[in-house]
Amino acid sequence: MSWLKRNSFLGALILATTMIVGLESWLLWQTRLDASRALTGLDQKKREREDLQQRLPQPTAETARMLADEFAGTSAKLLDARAAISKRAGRTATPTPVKSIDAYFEIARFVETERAAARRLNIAIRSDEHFGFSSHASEGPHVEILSAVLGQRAAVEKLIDALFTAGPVALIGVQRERPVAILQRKSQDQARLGKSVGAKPETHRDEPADFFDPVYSISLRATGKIEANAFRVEFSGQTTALRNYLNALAGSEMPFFVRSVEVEPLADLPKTTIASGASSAPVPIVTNSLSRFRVTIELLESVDEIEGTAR
Amino acid sequence: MVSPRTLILECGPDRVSLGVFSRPAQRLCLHELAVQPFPSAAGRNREAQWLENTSAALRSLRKRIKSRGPVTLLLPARFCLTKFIKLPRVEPMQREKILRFEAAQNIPYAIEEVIWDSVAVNETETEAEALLAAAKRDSLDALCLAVQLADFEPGRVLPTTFATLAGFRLISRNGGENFLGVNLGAQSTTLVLMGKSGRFALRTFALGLDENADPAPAGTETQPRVEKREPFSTRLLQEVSQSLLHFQWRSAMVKPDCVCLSGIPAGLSGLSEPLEGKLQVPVRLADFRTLVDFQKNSIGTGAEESGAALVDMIGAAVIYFEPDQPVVNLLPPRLRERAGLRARRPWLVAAAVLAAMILIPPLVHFRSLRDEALKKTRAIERESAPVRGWDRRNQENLRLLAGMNQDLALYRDTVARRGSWLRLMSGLQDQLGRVEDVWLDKLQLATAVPGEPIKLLVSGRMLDRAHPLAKVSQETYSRVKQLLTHLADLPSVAGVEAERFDSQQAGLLKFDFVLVGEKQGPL
Repeated sequence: MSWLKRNSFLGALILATTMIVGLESWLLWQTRLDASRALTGLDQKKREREDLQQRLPQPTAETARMLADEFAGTSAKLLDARAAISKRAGRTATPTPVKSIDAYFEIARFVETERAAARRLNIAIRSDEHFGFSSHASEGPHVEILSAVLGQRAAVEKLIDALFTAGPVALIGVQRERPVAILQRKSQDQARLGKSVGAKPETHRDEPADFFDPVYSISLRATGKIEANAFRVEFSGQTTALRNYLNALAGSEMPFFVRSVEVEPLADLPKTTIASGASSAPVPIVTNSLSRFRVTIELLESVDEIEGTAR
Repeated sequence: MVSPRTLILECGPDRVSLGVFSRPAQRLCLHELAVQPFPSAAGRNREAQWLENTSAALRSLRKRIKSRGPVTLLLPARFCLTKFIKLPRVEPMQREKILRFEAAQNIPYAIEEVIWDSVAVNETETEAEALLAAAKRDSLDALCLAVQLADFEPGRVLPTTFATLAGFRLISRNGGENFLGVNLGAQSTTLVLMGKSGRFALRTFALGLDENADPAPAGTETQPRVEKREPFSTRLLQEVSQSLLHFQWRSAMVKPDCVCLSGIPAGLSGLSEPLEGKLQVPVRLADFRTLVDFQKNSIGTGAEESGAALVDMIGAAVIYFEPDQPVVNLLPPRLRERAGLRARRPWLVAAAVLAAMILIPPLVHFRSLRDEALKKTRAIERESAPVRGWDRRNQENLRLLAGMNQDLALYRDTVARRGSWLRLMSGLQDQLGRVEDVWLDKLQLATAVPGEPIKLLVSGRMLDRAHPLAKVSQETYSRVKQLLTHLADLPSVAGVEAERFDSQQAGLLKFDFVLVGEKQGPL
C-alpha cells in the first residue's frame, strides 16, 4: 500500500494499462472467436454451394419446371390408374339404409331374389341358403357394421349373378370376410373402434358359416393404398362353369379380383363313362366326375388420395 | 512552437521569489515574477521563524502563480557548503571513490547527515577540480516539506552559488575577457571569477547588507566580528582583494578585465567607484535586458528593471534550459526518486500506450477477417438462396414422384393381376387339351409362407388309351413329361416341382406335382 501511495501515478497507469489490455484481450478473443465462426460459416456455405452444384438433378429453374411438369403428368397417370379401380368399382346405387331393420328387409329381399333365380336356372342350392348372410336371417346387422354388411350384400349379389350365368350344377356356399375386421382396418383409431365395435357382437346370432379368414399372403390389399373385401364362393360343376365364372368376374364392372381357385373332385355326383375298345359294354376306367370349385375373390377399393401438388 | 516553462523558487533570508521562465527561440523569457517579503516584525535570524515565514510566503505565492510543474529550489548560501576539490585524472569509478573520501573529509558533519553532490569543473590534461556542494539533510527535508505543503513540486535543489555562476556566465558569454562577478546578497556575497579559457573560481563569504545576519554555516567563510565596524564598501573591497589574491594563488587565474555587480539594488549604489579605484578595471551593473525578455509587468521599474537582482533566478533558469552548465542537485533521495519518476512519466505513458496498442493490430486483423468472411458468406448466400429453393422443390417433387410412381406401379400391377388366374386356368386347360386324355383331379393352395411364392398342389390322371388294361407305356410318361414342361411355361408360373407318379392302376398314370408361382408378376 505504501508503494502505491508513493507511486500513485505509476499504479494508476499500470491499472489503466492492465484494464485496457484486459479489455483488448477480451475483445481480441471475442473477435477471434467471431472470425473463426465466420470462417467456419463461410466454409459451410462453400461446401453447401459445391454440394448444390453437384446435386442431381441440377437445381435450376429449368429443372424445377421440368420436374413440375413431370409431377403433373404422373399425377394424371395416377389419377387414371386409381380411376381404373374406382370406375370399375361403380358401386351399386343401392341407397344405404340408415336403420338395422331396413337392412334386414333388404337382405331378406336379396336372399329371396337369389333363391328364385336358382330355382329358375335349375341350380341346386340348400333349402336354407342365405348366400353368406345367415347371421341376418332373423335380424338386421348392428348399426356399427350396417354399411359394411350392405356393401358385402351388394358384392355378393353381383358374385351370385355372375355364377348363375356361368352354369354351375350347384351352389355349395358363399362366405365373406368379417365386417368388423374391415372396419377395423379402415378406421384410423383402431383401439377406439375395436373397443366400441369389436366388443359388441355383430348380431345376436353370429353364424360362423358365413365367414372365413382370408389368406393375407395372397391378398392384394396394400396398407393405406388398396383396401380389399374378401369373399369365397363354392360351387360344383364342370370346368366350363369355372371358366365362364372367371370370365364373368374379369369382365365385371366391379373390381373383383380372383385370388385363388381350388378344385377337388366331387365323388358322389353323377359319373360319366368312356367306351372301351375291347368290349361293347361300357367299362368305367376314368370317372367323368364333377368338380367342386372354391374361388376366393377380393373386391378392391382404392383408399388413398394423391398427395400434394407439384410446387 | 510552445516552449516548456520552468519555475524557479528562490528562498531568500527576507523574502521568497517565484519566477516563471521559458526559452522560446533560444532566448530566455521571464513570464511571471512574484515576490513575497516576510513580515517586517518577523525575527529573520531565527531558523524556525525563517522556515515558518517561508512556508507562509510559499502558500501565498501558490495562490498568485497558477503555473504547475517541477520547481527549481534555490537553496540559500547559508544552508549550503560549496568547496573546490582537486582530483587527479583517474578512472571515473576511482574518481568516485576519491570524491566520497574527500566529501567525508571536507564536510564538517557526518556524511549520513548531509546530502551532497559534486560536479567536475576546470578539467586540464593532468588534473581536474570537483565542485562539492552539501547541505544538512534535516534542513533540506524541512524546506522541501514546506515547498511540498504549498503545493509545489521540488524538482531540483540548487545551491544559490551555482545559480550565480550560471547568471554571470550568461552575462560574460562572448565577452572574451577575464570577468569578475560580484553578487551582493542580504547575508552573503558571492564572487565569481571567470577566465577566457572558461575556468572559473567561486567564493561566498558572509558579508551582506543585512548586518544582523546569522553566522553562516560551516564552510561559508565568515567575517570576524569587530567591535567597531568599517563601512560596508570598505569591507567588501577588502574581501574582493583577498579573494582575487586567493584565486590567483590557488587557481593561477589572472586579474579580471572588468567587474560586474549584481544583487540587491540598494546595496549596489556607491560600490562602483570604490571598486574601480581599487581594482583599476571598469565596473558596471549587471543588465539582463539584452539577454532576457521580461514580460510586461513581470519586474519593477527603475533600479529593478535591469534585472540585476535576478541573477540567481536567471542563472537557475539558464541551468534548467542549458544542460552543459555545471550543476548539482541536493534534492533529498526520496524526492529525487519522485522527480525521476516524474521525469520518466512520458516514457512510462508512452510504454503504457504502446502496451495498450499492441493488441490493436491483431484485433483489426481479426475484425477484417471476420468482416470479409461475413461479406463472402452473404454473397454466397445471395447466390445460393434461389438454388437452394429450387433444390428443395426438386427434392420434394422427386420424393412425391417416387411415391406416386410406386403407387402407380402398385395400381397397374394390381389391375394387371385381375386376369392372372383366368390366364392360368386357361393355360392349364389348353395344355391338357393339347396332350389329350388327361384330367386334373385336384388343385389346392399350399399353405402360404410369407415371402415365398404361391404354390399350388396339383393332382391328376393320364389315360393310356393304347394300353387300357396294362401298365402305362413309356409314351404316356413322355406325354406327362411334355405336359409338365409346358405347364412350367405358363404365365405366372415359375416352375414345376415335387413331381410324383403312380402307375399301379392299369391304363392310368396318376401324378402329383407342385406349381410354383412367380415372384415377379405373381398370381
